[in-house]
Amino acid sequence: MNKKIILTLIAVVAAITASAQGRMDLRINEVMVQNDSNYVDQYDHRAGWIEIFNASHGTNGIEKMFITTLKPDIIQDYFKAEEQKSNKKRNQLLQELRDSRPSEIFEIPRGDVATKVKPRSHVVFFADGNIEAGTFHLPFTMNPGQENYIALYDVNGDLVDEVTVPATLPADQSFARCSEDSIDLHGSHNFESKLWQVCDGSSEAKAITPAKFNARPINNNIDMFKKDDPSGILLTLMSMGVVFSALLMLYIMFKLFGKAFTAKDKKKEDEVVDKAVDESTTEAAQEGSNDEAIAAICMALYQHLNAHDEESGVITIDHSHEARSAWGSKGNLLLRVPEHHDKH
Amino acid sequence: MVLLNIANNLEQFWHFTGFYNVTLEPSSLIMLCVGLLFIYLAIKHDFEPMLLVPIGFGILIGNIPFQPGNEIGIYEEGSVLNILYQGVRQGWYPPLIFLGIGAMTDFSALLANPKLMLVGAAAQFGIFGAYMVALAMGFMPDQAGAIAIIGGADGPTAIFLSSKLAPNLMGAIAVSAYSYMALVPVIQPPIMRLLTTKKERLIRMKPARKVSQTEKIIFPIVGLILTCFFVPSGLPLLGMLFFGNLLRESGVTTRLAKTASNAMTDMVTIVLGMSVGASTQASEFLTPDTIKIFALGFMAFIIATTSGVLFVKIFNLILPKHKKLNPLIGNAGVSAVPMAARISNDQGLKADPSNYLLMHAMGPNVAGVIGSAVAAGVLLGFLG
Repeated sequence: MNKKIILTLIAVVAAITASAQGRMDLRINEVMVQNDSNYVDQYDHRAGWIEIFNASHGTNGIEKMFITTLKPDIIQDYFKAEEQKSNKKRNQLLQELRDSRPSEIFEIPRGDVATKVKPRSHVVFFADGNIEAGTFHLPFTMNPGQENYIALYDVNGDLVDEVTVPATLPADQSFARCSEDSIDLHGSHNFESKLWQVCDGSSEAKAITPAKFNARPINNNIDMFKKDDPSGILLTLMSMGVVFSALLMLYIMFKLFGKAFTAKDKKKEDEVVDKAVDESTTEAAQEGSNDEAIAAICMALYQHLNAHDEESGVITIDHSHEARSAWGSKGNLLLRVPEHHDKH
Repeated sequence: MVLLNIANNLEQFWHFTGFYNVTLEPSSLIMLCVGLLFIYLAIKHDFEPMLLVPIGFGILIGNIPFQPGNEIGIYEEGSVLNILYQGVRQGWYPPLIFLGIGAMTDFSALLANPKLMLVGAAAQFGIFGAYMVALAMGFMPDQAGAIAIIGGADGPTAIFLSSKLAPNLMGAIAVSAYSYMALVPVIQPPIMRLLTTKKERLIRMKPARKVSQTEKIIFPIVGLILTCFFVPSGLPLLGMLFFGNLLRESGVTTRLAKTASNAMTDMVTIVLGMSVGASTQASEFLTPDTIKIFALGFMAFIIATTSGVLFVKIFNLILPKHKKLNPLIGNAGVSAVPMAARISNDQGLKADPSNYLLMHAMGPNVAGVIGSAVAAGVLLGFLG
């Protein structure tokens, strides 16, 4: 019965884990709507592009994810309507929607190793309306002079990230996140315009950077400690505090455990002593053969005084030769003949 | 014509030999001597032979002069040595060693007297004291952190942290850490004697209580959760340490515990020691920074020992008379297991031939293993 419960629990946990295997740590990072003299594709053609950034520290496969220009209300309304009709999953529904509106939803194909995006790396899709050109070519184009909405959905059909590129974005300029460091993977994936800026290439901060970091990655910690704590006292105090706290917690925890277990052991011992002084046991001991009891007491004392490890507590006493020894019995000097037992 | 060809070939071969290449890199000879010294100390004087023999021989392997370009050297991509070195470079070996340490270590001495954990924590001041000195000597904070971890007296931890914070200094840091670990019997006793009075050295500690098997099983689980919630960056080391210990104490995975503590640890120790030794190529190793690292490492050991002993003395001021600790166990707060605990015992026996401190000193000693891994995690968290 217990096994069944455990197996059921494992199955439930596995199911939850499996359903959570989306790609929520990918982000739309930079977009260029009108590309007249900028980044070129493998055929030296220019088109608007969308850069996606893998913000995690592990390789992420983007195959079977969806890139779309459809506004979320259209997709959500479709989900709502279809979910009432059937119990189809969202990725199935998104695939159906893709089939009905192929120029607005693109499902990233499987089988191209380039769709495995390395940690903290970028991948660029060209919005040229020509999916025949390769994996990274989208079926739609973007509209200069108009607001362009782009969204990224994961393999489960859940929204991962979205961006609305302003209509005022000039040609050959990009709309980009100010810095990859501002990405909050645990926060909302809704578009926040304050984290974005128009990049015209006029300065390092406003550089157009397809397939590259928008802002140079820096290790703030080291610079901060170098500037604010040149002698290392602050870090020493903080670190010793953490080390002491961690071990202090362990100390308190095992002090309490120790007390609890000592009390439990004492209770057990008392019960054993009570049993030992039971009338019948006392009588049996008085009747003779108390050598075994003495051996057991000696063993217990030895263990109590000397040993840290808990032993089994089982003592085996062999009575077969107690009357004879090698000093007085010739038989004890000889090898014993194996006894033969017939099976009945 | 034939003779000319032979002469050309011989000249080419001559350029390929170590005899020729040593003239281009004569400092290799110094490193070869260092390697021989390590092997001598290990075999003749029994100084941490399990570590110094592989490291010493690794130094010989890494410093035989050769013509680069044939995928031979440890820094040449694709060479056998380079592949083995990836375990050091990427920090794979130290957690595996910690798995073995966990499977070997009996934490009952610590569980029987949990306040000894604080001694293990206090000795970690050796790390942070050395960090401050390293900063004063002009190292960058991340380099200073990597060097300072030598004070934890834990080779795998030193390798793990330096591979993350200062890979270019890893060879010097690892060799320094292992050298001073081997020299614990030389470095610690004078400091211990200097900081303690005769009366303190005679303190007899209360025999430890018996620890139940359930407590031993709970320890690695609670230990992991508590320490890693504080310092998740210490997870590779602490996770493996406590996992190894659970294998040992659970009672149902004896075979796994045996493999982890014997065959696996031996294999990783061999490869780790040899690769660390081979990474000390003269051109990379014989630099002014290496001398500074060795000086800082020595200082870190002194600070760690001092802080451990002084902490016990201060702690004794608040402990009741029958629960006083012998300050000679303070040195064991560094994680050189079980060498530091043995030093405590030896010094205790010198003061009183019937006062055995070994089991008492094992408490702070194993706490030091946890403490240094936590300290490494803290440094990685702040400076990584």
